[in-house]
Amino acid sequence: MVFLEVRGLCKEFNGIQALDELDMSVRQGEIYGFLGPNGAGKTTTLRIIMGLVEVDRGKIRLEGEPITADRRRDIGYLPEDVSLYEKMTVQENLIFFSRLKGFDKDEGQRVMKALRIEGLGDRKVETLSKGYQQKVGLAQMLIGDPGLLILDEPTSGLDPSVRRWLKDMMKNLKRQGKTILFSSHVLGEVQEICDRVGIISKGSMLTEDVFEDLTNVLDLEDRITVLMKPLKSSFKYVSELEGVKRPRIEGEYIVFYCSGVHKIKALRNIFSRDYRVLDVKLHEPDLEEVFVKLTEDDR
Amino acid sequence: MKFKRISLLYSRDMWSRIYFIAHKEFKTKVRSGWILALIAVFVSMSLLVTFYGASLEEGLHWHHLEEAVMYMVGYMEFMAPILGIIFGYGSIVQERESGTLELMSSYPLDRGEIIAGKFLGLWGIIALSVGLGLGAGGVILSTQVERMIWSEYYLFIFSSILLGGVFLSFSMMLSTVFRTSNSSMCGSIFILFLYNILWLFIMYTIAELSFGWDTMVEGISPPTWYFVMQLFNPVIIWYTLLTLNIPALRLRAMELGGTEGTVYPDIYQTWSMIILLIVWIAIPLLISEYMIRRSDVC
Repeated sequence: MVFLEVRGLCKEFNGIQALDELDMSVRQGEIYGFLGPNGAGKTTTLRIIMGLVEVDRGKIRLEGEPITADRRRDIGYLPEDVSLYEKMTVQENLIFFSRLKGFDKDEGQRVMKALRIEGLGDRKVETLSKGYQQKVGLAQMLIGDPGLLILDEPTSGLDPSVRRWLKDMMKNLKRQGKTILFSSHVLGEVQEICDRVGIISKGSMLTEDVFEDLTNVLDLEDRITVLMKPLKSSFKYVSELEGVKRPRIEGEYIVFYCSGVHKIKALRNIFSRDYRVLDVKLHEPDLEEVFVKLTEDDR
Repeated sequence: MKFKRISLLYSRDMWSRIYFIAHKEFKTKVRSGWILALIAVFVSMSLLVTFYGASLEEGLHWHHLEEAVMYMVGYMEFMAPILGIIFGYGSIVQERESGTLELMSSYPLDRGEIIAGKFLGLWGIIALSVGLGLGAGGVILSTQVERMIWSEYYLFIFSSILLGGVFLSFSMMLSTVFRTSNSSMCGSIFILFLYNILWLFIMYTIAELSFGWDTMVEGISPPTWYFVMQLFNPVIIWYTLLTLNIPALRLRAMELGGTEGTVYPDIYQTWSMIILLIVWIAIPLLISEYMIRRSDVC
């Protein structure tokens, strides 16, 4: 079921088309990775969904209904730069935001407990590291137990341990039934935790799909590394096999790219000849390759 | 649509959110060290001006209420607007720069509530500063002068709080319009100069070119349109409100300006001056509300 639906979103800033007929569908209970190069329109899209930037044209629907101020109660938002009141304590910040959403101060305590950051309650935000500020930002996002969570580049500038914590937290929130939409340029983490990805370029959605399906649709090649002897004659043989692309020698290894049925045929041929095959490594295409292939026109 | 706006106006949630924003503003400012220092300086300055104002003409004694109030009026004419500007110029633009406006606006509230909440919280700080400053001055003065007229003094405090609110409202409007704190501060300072210094020259030039300034000095009251034009300056409205209610102040001011023949038109009444000050608070606030609603938050 589509939880958040964006249709034909257009936005222009000073004559520059930031979004051009952008479509997006986020399904209930999934983690949706929103990818795109810098300036592609990711943050603008998220800000429009949150009502922070006026849209020129297009529709946004949450569970089939337009997002009114009241419906925003069911959305939690974490901007790219964690922006809390630095002179206030963590607890005061969370109580303030709880009250803006119509909850009492116990809600602030609840979210701190849920994220196990009760110990930070009396500390002023300005004294916290970026990692801890991000945790407090995440707590702020969870106020009121919203069904949809929107995070703009949440792992940007964080150290690996906090990044890991954040990813685990997102998986955990998904298990609790939350729908999560997050933008990122760290492709590895998107691949690791997202159910589906949407790739945006020049303000338009290039594609959105399950990652495995994307690699099939784009017919991306696997990278195959083979250690076989004798090197020179086996390299000549491999280079001439059907479907083998970009063959080269890297140290003692032969490296080439191959996709679909050609991959199986090539490997079968390699093993069926009199060459001594000592090692074979297969690298499946990763999101980076999907991303590069889809946005290569922009580069 | 109309129905929706009206129901929003009476929504209890809306007033709660305004209260929480105002409370946060008030609390964080009161806790801030430099704000407390500012209030302390303000109180000390008030006492100093009260003392010297009262004693200037008759040696170092406190016994002339009118003299004291007159000097305090001269002091408040600048201090109340300065307080308004200090608290107002960064109120929106600094939140925009730090990103907290983006976060707050992502919550289910109307952006007008942010303006209203901030204004009320900051106006509360101004009321506290002016109340403490002039209140302390009044208490000391009452023990020293022969006849303390508290009603006049309360009006002086109340109107000064209104004047601070006017300049707070102006600087909040500029804080909404401008994208950097520096531009907002410069705009606010210009407003202060316009109304406290430039206005005199503008009105003098207009008077000279139309009916001639000398006629006022010669005891002839200027035409009504001249008085109406003066109402475009909230500082003049405030001053008029005081002179209407503190006879000694009016007499002394006219003596100094040589304009004893000036007769206020009928529109110059206590109630109308109070309403006009409130209108001067409301207009910039409404513009701020319009601007923040139609512009992108980030």
